[in-house]
Amino acid sequence: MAEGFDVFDAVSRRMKWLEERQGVLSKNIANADTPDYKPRAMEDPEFVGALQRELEPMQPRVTNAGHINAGVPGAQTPEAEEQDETYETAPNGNAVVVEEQMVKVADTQQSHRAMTNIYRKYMDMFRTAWGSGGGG
Amino acid sequence: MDLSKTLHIASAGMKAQGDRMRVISENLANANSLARTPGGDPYQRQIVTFDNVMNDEVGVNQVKVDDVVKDQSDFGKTYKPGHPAANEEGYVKTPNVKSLVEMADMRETQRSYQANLKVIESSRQMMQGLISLMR
Repeated sequence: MAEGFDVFDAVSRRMKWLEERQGVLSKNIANADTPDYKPRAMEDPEFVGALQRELEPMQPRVTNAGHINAGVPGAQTPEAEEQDETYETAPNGNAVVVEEQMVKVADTQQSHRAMTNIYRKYMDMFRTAWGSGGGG
Repeated sequence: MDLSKTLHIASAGMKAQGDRMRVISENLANANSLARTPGGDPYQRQIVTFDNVMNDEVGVNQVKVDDVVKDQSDFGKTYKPGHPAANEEGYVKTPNVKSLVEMADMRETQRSYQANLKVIESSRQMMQGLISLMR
């Protein structure tokens, strides 16, 4: 395993984000004709931030006997927010553009497939090391 | 949010669109339904409204048909002196259904239905990918 970087953990967290996003998109599409409905969107994760958290996690340091040795709360579940910019708003106040949402669904699916493939490849590396199939 | 919930959300959306399609077909089928009594009102166009409702079993907000209301716009009228619904001047009120509007609505319904179907397909493939990891 790479020093200090857990691929399985990173992949599963990315997958969790993608599944969350798929849920948000499915809500948007289901409400494509609901009056006054504004589409919601997930904030894109920042690669640099994620890497930093992974390699050198921020930790409060105990520098005084009076300090409490507390940890940093774990990664929070991502949340969707109302989309800032929308292409157009229908006269009934609905701002969902089905095409835009479908593109995001396709993108989510592709990324999810990429993640499952990374997971599988990484697993194959272990299999090779164990000597049970996978290029052995 | 797990993937199975997206299936619930999308299927609720499809059901709502299905109900909307039913109302549109009612409107179209009754585009020429006139009254029977003199001066009586003909078929009045119906409109579907959508709303979000929390489904406690699944734990998500699902779209559903809120209410089917009557279109309050004016009826048309046509000159048919011999018709049983004709008034003293010989005019009969005609339904406020416009087939062009209904056709446009129908297309929109179809498009939304397909979009929901695609979401289900996409979620299903994502799940399949996860399951195949176990092999």
